[in-house]
Amino acid sequence: MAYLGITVVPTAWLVFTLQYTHQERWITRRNLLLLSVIPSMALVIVWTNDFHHLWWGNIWLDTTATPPVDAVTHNVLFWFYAVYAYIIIFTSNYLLLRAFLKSSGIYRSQILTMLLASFAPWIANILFFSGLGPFSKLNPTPLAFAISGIVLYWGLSRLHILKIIPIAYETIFRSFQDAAIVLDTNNRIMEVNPSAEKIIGRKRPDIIGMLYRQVMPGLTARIEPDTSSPNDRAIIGIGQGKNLRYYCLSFSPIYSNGRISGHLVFLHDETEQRNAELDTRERVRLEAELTERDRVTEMIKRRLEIETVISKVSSRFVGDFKINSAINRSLADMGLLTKASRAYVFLFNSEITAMDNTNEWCAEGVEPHIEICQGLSCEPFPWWLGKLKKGQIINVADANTIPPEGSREKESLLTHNVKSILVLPLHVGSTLVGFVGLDNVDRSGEWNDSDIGILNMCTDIIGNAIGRKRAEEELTELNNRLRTFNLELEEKVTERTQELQKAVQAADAASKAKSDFLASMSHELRTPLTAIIGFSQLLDERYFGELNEKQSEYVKDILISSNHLLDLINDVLDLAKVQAGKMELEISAVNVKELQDRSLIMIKEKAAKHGIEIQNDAKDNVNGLVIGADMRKLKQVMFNLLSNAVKFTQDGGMISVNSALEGENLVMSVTDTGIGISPENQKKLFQEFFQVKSGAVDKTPGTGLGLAITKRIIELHGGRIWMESRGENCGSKFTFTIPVRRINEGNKDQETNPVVVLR
Amino acid sequence: MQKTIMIVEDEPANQKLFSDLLNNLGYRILLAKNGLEAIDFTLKEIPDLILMDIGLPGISGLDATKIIKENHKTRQVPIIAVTAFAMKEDETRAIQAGCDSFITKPVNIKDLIKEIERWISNSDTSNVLEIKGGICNG
Repeated sequence: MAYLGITVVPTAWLVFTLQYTHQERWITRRNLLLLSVIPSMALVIVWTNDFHHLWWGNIWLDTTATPPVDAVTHNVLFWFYAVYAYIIIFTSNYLLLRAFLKSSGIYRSQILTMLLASFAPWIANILFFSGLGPFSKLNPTPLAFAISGIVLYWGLSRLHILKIIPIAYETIFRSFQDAAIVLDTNNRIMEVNPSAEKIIGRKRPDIIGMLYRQVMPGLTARIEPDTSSPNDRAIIGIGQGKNLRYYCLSFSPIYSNGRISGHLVFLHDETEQRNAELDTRERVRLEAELTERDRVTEMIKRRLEIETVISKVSSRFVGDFKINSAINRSLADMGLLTKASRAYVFLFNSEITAMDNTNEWCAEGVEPHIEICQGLSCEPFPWWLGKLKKGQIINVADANTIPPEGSREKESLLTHNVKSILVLPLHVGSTLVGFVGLDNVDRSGEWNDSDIGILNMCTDIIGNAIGRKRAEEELTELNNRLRTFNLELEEKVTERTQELQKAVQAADAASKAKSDFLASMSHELRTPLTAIIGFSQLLDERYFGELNEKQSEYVKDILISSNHLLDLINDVLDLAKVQAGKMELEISAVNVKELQDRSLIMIKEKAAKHGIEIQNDAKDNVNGLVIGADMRKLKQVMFNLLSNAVKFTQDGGMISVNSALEGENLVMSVTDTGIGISPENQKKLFQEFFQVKSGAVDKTPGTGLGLAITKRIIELHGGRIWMESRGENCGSKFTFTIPVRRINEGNKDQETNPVVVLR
Repeated sequence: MQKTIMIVEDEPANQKLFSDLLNNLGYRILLAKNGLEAIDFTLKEIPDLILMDIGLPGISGLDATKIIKENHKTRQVPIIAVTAFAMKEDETRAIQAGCDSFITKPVNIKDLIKEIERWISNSDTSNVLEIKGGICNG
């Protein structure tokens, strides 16, 4: 029967240790079956040993031993099973040993107890088989089992082996979420759970036995266990930055036999809770901030809206804008901004007795009034008009509360179902031209002050724009009138020009007829004059015999008169040419000094006859000066001036001729000591047919055309002629200047006869 | 040898004036009263000089001058235009037509004689011409 125990015990021990060390996963039905195969077989073999002697051979009483014992010789299967049993027991003890090293506290003591209990029979058995024991023939194993029994009993009573509670405590302790640290009375760490390990950041074997202070150096003495306040709590922070966590630290004294034998320290992670608390506070703050931000945002939005409206309104009236659509859009902006039902513009007539609703904007679903508000009399709105004329805004928050002086307006508003209204005066410059109004049909209420400001601004912009448009219209109207006027003027000018052209043509035709007439007259007069002068000359020259004194005198008179007639004819012809624009210059090289000298030769004889002295002066810069001019005509000019000088100078007087080059002008003058010319006559001097009464009777009378022709000739040369006289009997000075056209004397021939036509 | 001067002149008084003057000076005179005669006579008897009036009835003095100057037989005869057309352009036209010289009417006798003598010299008459004093025409 003893073999029943021998075969079952090792296997049962293994199963127990597996269970005890929480290796239950090995205890399966299959493993149990496998484990029980060999013991069962061993039992069968033992029981049937008599038949085969596989277990043991001989059984005898060994008398050599004291006391004498049964002796057996073991066979193959015995040894086989012994090895198997040892392996099983060894495995079990190995498991226990491993658990012993890992575990702590009461658990550790239990394992130690069980190890001792199991080692006892095992050692005894080894001693017996190795023959080392004191009783080599006696098997001490049963005795060893008794020791095991005692040890286990002690363990059961003292260490509650196999009782669940210590294990449960242990389990709770280990799996506790809070960190738990067991301290002895000296605050040395006796035990820590995995949570504590994690917080401390070091492994249990490193920590055990150390001073609590050393392990948690961040903690002050205050939060070390203090016997005076056995239950202490504190919130501590461990870690830094993101890893900072908050723990609720609490100490619980451990009482043993009525006195404190240590402390249990708990660290409860309160980070989340604390964060949540912080979050709540933060949230309140944020919410407040958000509310404030919303308020500011709302304000900014409103301001932006206002600015947008103002900029929109003002931009509508910039550049080439259509006034009506610009106003309509601006009214919409204003209406939408203030959430009004209507926004409109009324314009007065110039006397402010009538008004027209020129523009209107209506909110959706609001009935427009523009149609019925044309040509309204101002008479039913005395209160408003009075205020508007003073430049005041009419702000009616509730139509029902309009004061008695506005009773007529009140009636009108209530008739049209208007609850509140705002009317702003519309000015062009400083003139009231109308008003901008906004009203509400669905609600009464005060108009917002800032809104009124903006609406006022918009109204000003509109007024400004209307003013500009009106000015533009006026300008356009003015321009149109000017254009019409110009057109009329142009027409008149054209008409007049045509008339003038006709007149000119007629005058030209008349002039041509005149000069044609003069030319033919000249021709017709010359022909008989030829005979008169010719025959007179024949007689005077005594071609056909002597004449008596009287005949000679008469012939001379005929000659003088007919020559005067010829002069007249010639001058008239010249004048006709001038007037017909037919006088032409025949430009050639003219030596100025030569011209001067030759001109004097022509009058020398006559001057000498009257005892008139002649002075001939030329500045040095005229010597050798050759200019481009009409020689014959300049000679005619000089002859004219000189013969006039002779004519109007008394006998014994003096005539001087001077020439000089001044800048680019030739200046020539003829001065006499003659009768001079009165200032009033000086003006008429160069007119045609003007004649100064000659004092000298015996001199040839002039034609009255000489100076007129002279003037024209000088002008044709681009020059000018004038006379100076200090009055009657003070002499005269005739001066002319002509711009110098220089001609190279070497090219004289080529330069001859270029004809310059001057009208 | 006596030189022949043809006077082309339609005005009887002037015909007489020139004829008497030139006769007196010893020239032989051919008198043509119009342009046609002037051409006709010139071709028949080539004169030494022609005094040509311009304003003539029928063929004008200018036309006659052109015809005379175009004929190689008569081309060399000097022609002095003596005309009451006193304008500058009249002179230009006369020269263009072929006149060799231009004198306006009324003529200064002395100027006329001087101009004639520029073209032909008549020794017979040189003595007759005695210039006595000038004519003052102011």
